[in-house]
Amino acid sequence: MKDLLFNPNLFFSEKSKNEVSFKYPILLVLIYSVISIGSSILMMNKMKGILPLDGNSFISTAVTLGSVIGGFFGAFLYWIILAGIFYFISFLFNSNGSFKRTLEFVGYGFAPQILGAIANLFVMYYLLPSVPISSQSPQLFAESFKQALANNPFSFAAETFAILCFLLSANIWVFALVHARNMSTKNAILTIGVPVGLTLIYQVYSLIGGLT
Amino acid sequence: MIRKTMIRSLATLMLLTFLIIPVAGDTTVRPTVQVTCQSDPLSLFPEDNGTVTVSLKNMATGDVYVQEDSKTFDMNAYIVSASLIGTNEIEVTDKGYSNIGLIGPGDTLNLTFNIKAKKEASSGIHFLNFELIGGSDMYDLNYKIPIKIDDRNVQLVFSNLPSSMINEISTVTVDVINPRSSDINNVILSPSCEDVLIYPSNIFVGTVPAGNNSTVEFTVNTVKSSPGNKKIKCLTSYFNGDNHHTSETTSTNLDVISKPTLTLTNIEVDNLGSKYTVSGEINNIGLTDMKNVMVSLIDSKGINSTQPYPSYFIGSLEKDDFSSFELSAFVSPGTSEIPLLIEFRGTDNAYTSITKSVYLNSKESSVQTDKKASSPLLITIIIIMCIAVFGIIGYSWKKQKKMNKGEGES
Repeated sequence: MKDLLFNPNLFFSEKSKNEVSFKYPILLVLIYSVISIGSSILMMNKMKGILPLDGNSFISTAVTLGSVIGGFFGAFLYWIILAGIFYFISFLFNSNGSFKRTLEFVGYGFAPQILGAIANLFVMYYLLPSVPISSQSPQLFAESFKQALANNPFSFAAETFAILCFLLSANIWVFALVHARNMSTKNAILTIGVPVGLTLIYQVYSLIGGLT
Repeated sequence: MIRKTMIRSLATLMLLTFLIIPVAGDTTVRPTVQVTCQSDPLSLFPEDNGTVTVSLKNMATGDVYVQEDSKTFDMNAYIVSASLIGTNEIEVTDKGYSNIGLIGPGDTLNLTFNIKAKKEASSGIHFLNFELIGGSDMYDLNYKIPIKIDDRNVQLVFSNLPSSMINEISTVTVDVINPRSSDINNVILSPSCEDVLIYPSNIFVGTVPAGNNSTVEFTVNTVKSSPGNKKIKCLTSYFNGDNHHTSETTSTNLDVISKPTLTLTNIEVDNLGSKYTVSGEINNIGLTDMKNVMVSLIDSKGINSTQPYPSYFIGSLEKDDFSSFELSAFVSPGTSEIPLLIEFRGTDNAYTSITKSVYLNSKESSVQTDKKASSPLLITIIIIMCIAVFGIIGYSWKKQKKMNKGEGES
């Protein structure tokens, strides 16, 4: 696992010699999804106050359950879609390699994002209780939550950390594609660069937008 | 104006009535004159001017000429002169009358004299000497006319003035007492007090009868007054006859305590994002009812009032009563307090406004931490994180190159 972070090239070259195994990628995505679900549950608990539930425990449970299931499948869907995008773009560079292998290696890239999700969970845990809430409008709650995030340095640091974790994932995905799709490093950078670059631009824009 | 007529003259003098000459068979018939007098005003202050009217009435009722014992008598009263003599304390400013003429039977003649009470005049009844010189069959007459000097002034009694007031509006009742033996007219009361609003500033009382009182009310507004002891000064202006007088009366101490009559309690501040809702209760802890009470948000830097309640109209708020209110505003981050304007009218109908601030609680202020204050620490943490991540990425690429090189060599 140490090699995954510090020497992904060696890590994936070793892994490519073995059969495709989803054991660790699924585990990593599972951990990532559980942590993300933790954040969602915190948010849903906070939002219960503004949803017109009228104290109905069944709907309340259903909403919580929905957010858990949604978060769980969402993470896995995100993994598959991301692998698909990488697979499709790398296809343009006449690369070869199975989608299964691509999916497996892309899954390893979720390891740094687990750290980002943990940071996000901490921010939610500490910041949500201080976000004022009343039963008027979810839009206003979103606004107040955004405001709370924008004004809190802890949240700003966590968001920056999440972006940096995403950069680490991108770095891992470059080497993942090199070995999964048997392509040059340059082509792998281009393949990763387009979706990651767009995501990074959006994330940095959101971060700076919150400051101004 | 009620003027009591004081008829001091009790003497009806028979100057020469059927005077019998001690001659057998001779009868002398002479006119009879009744003297009455009246002073205006009925009592004078020292230095006051007044008038004394002396009425002379010929009491004969029959013909002008009366036949008696084959003689003819003239019943006209012939007045040669009439004068009023002053004293050490009352001065008569007229010279008197001369060559007045005849007063026919049943006729009346009024003689008016101007008098002035001297400064040193003492209180009590003083007598002026009236001298009448008759002609023809009329005898002379001397008569004392009583004039009253009274130096007792108007008194004010603050019957319900509290010893202490908060910043409120109160109605004060004042009894204007006339201890004199004559009426006073055109009484105007002018209450005033430094740092306190009094309405109305002049009150017309009118005539206060002798030995009686009139009650007036005015409002004392201490809403904007600074705390401390105050004294209400009342200047009473009135006329005794045609003489203008003033009298100043000062009330007992009025301790103003700094506490608004309309207080806010049970204040709750809720917000959704930048939209804040301030709700609470407004209480009237004063002595009088308040009208047109309205609570508004003051638009200022970082605070913009908005619908549905930029202002909240309450209307009348009785004493010892309360009303709830709600206000809406958009508040920018970093704002520590929301200023409120409370407008109302008291019993004096005067528009009054006070400002109060609602402080945003500490929980919200912890959310709105000042970014600038934590910037150096934040930048340091971010720089360390960036160095670490880019270090890892750089290290991984270095390893990759080393590995490729190793593979190339092998």
